[in-house]
Amino acid sequence: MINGIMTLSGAWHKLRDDPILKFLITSLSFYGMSTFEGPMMAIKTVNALSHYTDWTVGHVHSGALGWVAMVSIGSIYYLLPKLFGKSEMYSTKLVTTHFWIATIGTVLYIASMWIAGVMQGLMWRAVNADGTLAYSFVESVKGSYPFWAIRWLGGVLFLSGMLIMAYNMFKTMAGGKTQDAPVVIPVAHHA
Amino acid sequence: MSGSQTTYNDKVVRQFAVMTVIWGIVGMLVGVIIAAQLVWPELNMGFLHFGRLRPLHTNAVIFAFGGCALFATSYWCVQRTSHARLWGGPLVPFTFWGWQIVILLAAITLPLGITQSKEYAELEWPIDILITLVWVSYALVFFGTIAKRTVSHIYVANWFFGAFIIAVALLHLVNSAAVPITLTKSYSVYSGVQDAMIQWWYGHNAVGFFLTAGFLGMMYYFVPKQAGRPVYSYRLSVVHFWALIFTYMWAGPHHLHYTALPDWTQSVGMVFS
Repeated sequence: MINGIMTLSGAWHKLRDDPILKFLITSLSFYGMSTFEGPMMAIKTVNALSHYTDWTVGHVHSGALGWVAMVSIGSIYYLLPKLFGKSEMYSTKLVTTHFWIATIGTVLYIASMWIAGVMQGLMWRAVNADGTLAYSFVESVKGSYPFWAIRWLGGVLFLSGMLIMAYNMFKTMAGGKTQDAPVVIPVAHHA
Repeated sequence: MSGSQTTYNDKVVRQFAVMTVIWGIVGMLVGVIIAAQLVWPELNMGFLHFGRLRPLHTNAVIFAFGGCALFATSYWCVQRTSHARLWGGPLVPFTFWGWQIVILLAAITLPLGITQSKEYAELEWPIDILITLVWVSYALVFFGTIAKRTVSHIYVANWFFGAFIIAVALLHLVNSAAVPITLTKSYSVYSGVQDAMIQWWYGHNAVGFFLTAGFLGMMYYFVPKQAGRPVYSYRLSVVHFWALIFTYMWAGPHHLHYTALPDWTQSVGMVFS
């Protein structure tokens, strides 16, 4: 992760106007975050709280939306114009819009699942003075509803971003040339 | 390959790139639907309820969206960094069409409840066999291209892509081993806690190699390309590779904390995480 981000050394200014780079570098941040969170959750004492809760679901989506989807989206945006004989995407502005919608969607998703997950874990383990459970399971379900609604909204945002991408893609493809690029002959190495 | 000049095979990259976006939308739409079903339970209708759609969502985003993205980027990267056209002739289009058929079959069988009941490995045995054929072809094309490269060095992104291809083949073959009963039903060859352990050895490494190693390959090619800068430290990327390869394979048991799995196994899983 550090290696990837440090690749930007001396090129940080490019992040300001290049939405493709925004996707790639944000994905690395989420990669770093979720690969720190994962091993932490694997510690048994932490797992005792987090197991079977929505925290796990949030963790997975921090990796899935933040890392996997964003790095893929960035790479595909890099490829599409080259594959269809264009110098750039039909609209760079829409790529930027996609980036912000996707980022907000991901953050809403992860944050709501963290809160819901920790709440569920705490409710399930809470006991009264006499050792009986403080909450029934369905009470934790009831408490989770608002967070599930926020998560749904996060998902809707992320999906909308993909629809923008599809529009941009088909506009880029329109009238594009689909000629295969010639193989580049490597420059001879110095002895 | 007309004329004197050899070209890269960009057609297959184009196909996979476009399908990445399409399957991304489909998979995420199913995700939004099941998220809505949790908020408004009355949306669970007929066989399109949460239990049936959830595996469809995971399979669609991981294997259809993620898979197509990995095919597209690895085919692009391996050709550019090897300075060679994809090897394998008809095997190349087979990986595209074979993979699309796998996805379609998944979209049909999962809502019908045809499943092996293994998380992220739900597809039944005939589809598993097709996956194996596609995957072996993918490996042949990828490593065949590496073999005919015209530069001596193998770029680090290809190490990650290569490890991902080999590891997924291994995981898929071991975890999906099953005894078929009918065309749509089979039983795992493992039982009890061994079955659970094999499943999470698979499940965690599906994350580790499919969703991490493969996408790191993507990162090591496209980040430097888009930034117009070389990788910060090439040596660090090689350390990164071996650290990931060494530890990920052992981390599966953390999915089975506080279960019937022997305690020491859980601890091994915890440490390697």
